[in-house]
Amino acid sequence: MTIERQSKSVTDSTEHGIKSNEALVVGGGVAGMQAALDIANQGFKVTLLEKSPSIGGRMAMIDKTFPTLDCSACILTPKLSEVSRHPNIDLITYSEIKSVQGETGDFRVRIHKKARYVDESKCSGCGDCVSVCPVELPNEFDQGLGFRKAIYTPFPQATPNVVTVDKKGEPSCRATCPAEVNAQGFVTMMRHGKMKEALEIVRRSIPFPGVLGRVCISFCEAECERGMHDESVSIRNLHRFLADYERAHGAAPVEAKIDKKERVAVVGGGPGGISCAYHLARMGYPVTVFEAREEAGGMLRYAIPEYRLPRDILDEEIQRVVDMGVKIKTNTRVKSIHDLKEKGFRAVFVATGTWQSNKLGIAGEESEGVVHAIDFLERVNKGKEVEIGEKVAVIGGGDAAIDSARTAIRLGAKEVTLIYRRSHVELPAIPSEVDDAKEEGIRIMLLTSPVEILSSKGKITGIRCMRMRLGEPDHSGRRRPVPIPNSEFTMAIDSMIIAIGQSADPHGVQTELDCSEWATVKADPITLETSIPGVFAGGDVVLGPLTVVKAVGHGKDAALSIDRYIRGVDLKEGRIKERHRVQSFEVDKTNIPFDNRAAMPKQAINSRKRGFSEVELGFNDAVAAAEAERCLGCANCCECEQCVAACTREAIDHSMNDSVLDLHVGAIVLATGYRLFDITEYPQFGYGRLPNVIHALEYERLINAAGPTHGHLVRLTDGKAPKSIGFIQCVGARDVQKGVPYCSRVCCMYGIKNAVMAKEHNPDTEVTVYYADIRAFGKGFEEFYEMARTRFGVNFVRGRVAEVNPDKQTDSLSVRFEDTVKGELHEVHHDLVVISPGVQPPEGLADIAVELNMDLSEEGYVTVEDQVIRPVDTSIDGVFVCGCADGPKDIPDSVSAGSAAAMRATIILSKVDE
Amino acid sequence: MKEFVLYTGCTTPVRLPAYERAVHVVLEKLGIKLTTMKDANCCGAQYIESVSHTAFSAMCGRILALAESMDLDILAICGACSGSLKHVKHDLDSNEELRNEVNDILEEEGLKYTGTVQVKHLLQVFREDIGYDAIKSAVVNPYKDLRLAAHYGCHVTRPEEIVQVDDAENPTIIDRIIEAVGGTPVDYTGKTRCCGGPLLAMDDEVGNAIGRDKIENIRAENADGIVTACVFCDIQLTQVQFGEGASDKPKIPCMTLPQLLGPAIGIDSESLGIQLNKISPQAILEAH
Amino acid sequence: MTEHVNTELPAYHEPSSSFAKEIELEPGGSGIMHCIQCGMCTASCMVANMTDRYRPRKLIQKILLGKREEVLTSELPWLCMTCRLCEERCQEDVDPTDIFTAVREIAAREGYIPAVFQNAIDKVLEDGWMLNDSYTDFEEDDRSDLGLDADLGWNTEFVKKIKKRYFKGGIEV
Repeated sequence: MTIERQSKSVTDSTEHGIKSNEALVVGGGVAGMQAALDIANQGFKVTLLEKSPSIGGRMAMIDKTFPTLDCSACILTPKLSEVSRHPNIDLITYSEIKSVQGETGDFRVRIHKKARYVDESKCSGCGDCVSVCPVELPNEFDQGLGFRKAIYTPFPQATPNVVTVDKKGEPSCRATCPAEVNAQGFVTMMRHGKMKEALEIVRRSIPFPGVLGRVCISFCEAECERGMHDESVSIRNLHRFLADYERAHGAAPVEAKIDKKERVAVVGGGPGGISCAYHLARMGYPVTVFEAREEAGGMLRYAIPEYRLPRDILDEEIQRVVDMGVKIKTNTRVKSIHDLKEKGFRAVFVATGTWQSNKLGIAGEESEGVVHAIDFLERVNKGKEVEIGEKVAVIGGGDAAIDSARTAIRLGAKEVTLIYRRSHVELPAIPSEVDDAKEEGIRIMLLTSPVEILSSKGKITGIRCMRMRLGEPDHSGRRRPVPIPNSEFTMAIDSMIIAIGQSADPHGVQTELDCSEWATVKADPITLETSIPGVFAGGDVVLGPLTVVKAVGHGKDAALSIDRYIRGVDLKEGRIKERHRVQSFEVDKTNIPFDNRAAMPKQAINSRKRGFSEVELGFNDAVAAAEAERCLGCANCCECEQCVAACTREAIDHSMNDSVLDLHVGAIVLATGYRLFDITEYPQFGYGRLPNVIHALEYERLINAAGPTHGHLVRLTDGKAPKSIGFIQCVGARDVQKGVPYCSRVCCMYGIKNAVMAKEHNPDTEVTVYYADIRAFGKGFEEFYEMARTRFGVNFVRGRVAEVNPDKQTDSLSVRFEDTVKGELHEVHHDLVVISPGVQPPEGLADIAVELNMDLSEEGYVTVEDQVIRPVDTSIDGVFVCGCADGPKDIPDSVSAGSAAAMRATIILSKVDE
Repeated sequence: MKEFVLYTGCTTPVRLPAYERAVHVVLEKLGIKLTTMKDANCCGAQYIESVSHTAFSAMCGRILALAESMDLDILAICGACSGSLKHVKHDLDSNEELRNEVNDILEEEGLKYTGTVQVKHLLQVFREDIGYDAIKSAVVNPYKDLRLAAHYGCHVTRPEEIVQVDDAENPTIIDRIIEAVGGTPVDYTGKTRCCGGPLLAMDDEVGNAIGRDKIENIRAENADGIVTACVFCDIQLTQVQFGEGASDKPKIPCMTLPQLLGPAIGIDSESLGIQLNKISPQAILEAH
Repeated sequence: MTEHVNTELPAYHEPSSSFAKEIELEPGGSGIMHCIQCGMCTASCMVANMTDRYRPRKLIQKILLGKREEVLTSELPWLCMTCRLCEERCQEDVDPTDIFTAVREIAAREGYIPAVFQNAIDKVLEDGWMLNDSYTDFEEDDRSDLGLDADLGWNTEFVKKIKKRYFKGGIEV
């Protein structure tokens, strides 16, 4: 911080040199608006900064003013429009101060402008986007009593009249998905029964909703925020449901839209290659996929067993890609990448995978009865006759190992043992698959490693193993298995399947490119470009054997790179992810009841062990709908982009980022307002626990014609008009024990006003105000109090309320107090209790104070230099204060202070150096 | 292993020895070592407290000094004792004159209060020294379908800034332990109100009316039992369900917190002295 | 604050004694002058809820009004359960419990102690603990059955010193 304490007189400021004659007003409530207008009307430029989407502050929320009972909005609205139209006022909303440097006459202020995801110059505030938005959130403007959409204007007169997208960032489900599937988006659409739109959101990222809906490892579920509460949402099974739903209801025919000329070759028709071709075809490129085997699908077809992935599902999803205009040439092994380029392909994507099984490297591996997993699974999946022994050992702990073991059972093996050298914590296979395997009777032997294969006459007879323990972590971060001396033992077996990973073919076509010593291609981790320009590579041939969804993600990334390459655009720019990932604490999980995730119905054990029909049967409509409801909607906006489609002005841009804005100003006016005391600190009043105990600002919204009940004063529990209302004064004000010894100045009068309004709404309502003192100190206040008592018949009881308790029998609230005038102890029943909370310094004021190197009072308010003769001067020269930032004030006092602060500021501005 | 010296107070050993026993076995199982303080004196709560602040300070001061001589912190299981000891510790730590006066009388016995000793009520030990997670993982026999009302005890939780056990208006420790052992804590009107026990000496009719009012508020929430953390509260909330003026509705069993916790962590009810409870909590013990 | 009360109240509200000031000087009594008679204590009080005899706010009012004799000789200060619910809620940070304890201490010094209190005090100062008379063979057996030490080992000497030093060997201070 560079601000030094200056001498305190405004008139001295000429000594420092006035470098800017513009002003900054922080806070767009009525005081800040007044200050900005008064500065602007004197001919100076002023920036009005507001952290919420609209100016108007608390006054916009209030129903009537006291003591005149004028309509608050009627007074405020002309001012709102005056501010928005004033040529000298630059209105910056949804923004906050990031830093302040300099001194009076010469402040450098940095503003953090939150992304609104809407171009303010294009948006007309028509609201077409609002009606299509599927996300409903509590409306802060209505104190959370009503709902708004994720794209919204807080209230009809919001200024500026543009919508705002409430988006916290990227939800963890999407952030963790290698293919960036927008899980929150499609789940939200499902909640509204919009299955077609939901599926379209999945297909924006992947061509395989049905396939990945069955075989994906679901990184998203591991990070799902719901899992921090009870159990993660069953995201994978939900997009499987969408694919099943489309199959059941009939899909719209796919039309090819190939409108570009540049041809692209994809080498390898596995998940990575198909994904790349799919995304390129969506962009309009003609693509040819070259596949060496007789059918496309790669490991999906040749390694994953049918009981997990029925082949018609795979065939149909590949066919869709073909229907989009992609050519797939099967039985065609590419011999040279160079040749492809010479044949006129502008770009090539190499995704040939890893098909060579790793060897254990122990004695006896060549014996009859020993097979490697990929060879074993490929033969089974091709429908060939495969013999398996009775006692089978499977070595390894990945998905291929589990698949092999479960396939062996289905082929008739009696006893299948899976041998894995680490513990269950490190076991890499999908947990639900492991559970299924156990259910099917597969034994899992952990911390064990084979050391020798025993054979007789060239045929396997058994296996010698060693017990392991876990040592220090290795390069993969997993704890290294260490053999335990003298722990060897022998097992008799007649078949063995080795599933300890695969490698790339060391003689494969990819070796034309720069490769690692393991024959995997060296590709840029973001763009996937290789050593040859225009040639990209991805999937297992780059990463080594990994998961389907990573290969699919690579296909998508490569398609993006290829498009950029062809268009001559920089491959890398803007692709490093900088989006804010929604943090756990940002997701409110209070009041969400515990609820387990939906269980996947499965084929019965006995029948499934006999064949290869699908084990997981899929969710039905009701289960899927209930499961979708469990989504917490972490990011608020789900990026379904329905709003983008609805907007005729192309004003919505979901790719916007927060930005920084620099201002140079001569003076600053703080008009940061206040917040209400958090009355949950008074558990004895039951706020938050008893729904018919509300606070005054909630009450204001309830009686406001533009509020959530259209101005009907009703109870939130049953919608009935309350016959009796109690107002409790001095809560979170004049309370020494709660650290708020001071009077909030406004509660007495707004409390009386609210009591009068209750009578205005329904003259038959019994209305009682419980107080310790009535401080009717202003002009017309005492008369207003008198009128409330005599003309409106409001009861005033002197006595602080001790407790509010629920009375179940009468569905009312009992209030305990002593009428200290009569000396009587009472327990009175009300239908509604309204608490009048005290006023507190606003959140964020302390941060601004630190930036300004400014003192705050013990209570957290701005301290003024001299309450009597300089009531708007802060301890920092050139910084002024108005409204409630330096202490509670009513509206007229706030506005007066706004004008005063404006005048003090313009005295500085007018002395600008020529 | 954390160790405490247990100050039983006058009442628990005579009127509710099962509570004392349950504290021993449950804390031992949860890894807390206890030594019972010997050669102690009454803390002076309520009676001496009312007539001489200095005499009261000296009586509590001696207990604090005894613990210091053993180099152990104090565990108190009675609200009156824990409240008195904490209060006097607070006064001695902030009032040098009083401390000198107390040390003067303690000197003859070779005792001295220096301020190093901490006083903890049983609830604090559960939350701070054992922790909810450890309690949860110790549960082998969780309760099922059990609605329990927590009664904290005035002197256990108030005044909050001196005793520092829990939020005085919204205490949660017993409720969280009820949850940890599989029960459902129920909220009820007047949860933080007194059991009426301290008034018995002056006006037993009013004291009992206060206790019965509490029982009826708990009954209104259909609770299966009341869980206490103070010997006086436990006795009072039990006693008011008997005799003249008592309701003829079924009695609601009172259990001290360790007696509730014990069976859930695998301790048999015999070892917890539950057979001595005046209102049999059989229904609670069977709710698994 | 004290001066305020004395000088600004109308003459007929002049306290009849300096009792409140006396309380103010006792341990825990310092908050009494902050009382604004809002009634929070009475409304929170379960004793007041059950009997008309006791109103904590009115008792504090009596002290403020200087009714020394009336307060010291009445049972009222002894009806507080010391549950401290009022103290937890008082927005002016007055501690009625501590105030009434201060009143009790003054009352005791002047010989006004309810009999039940007197008896209990005598017992404690005699036996070193409260329940010596109630600890019979029956209770001892219960303890033995539970595996608890039947010998409670209470110290009886220390209270004698207390009695001598603070109670002048007798009852009153």
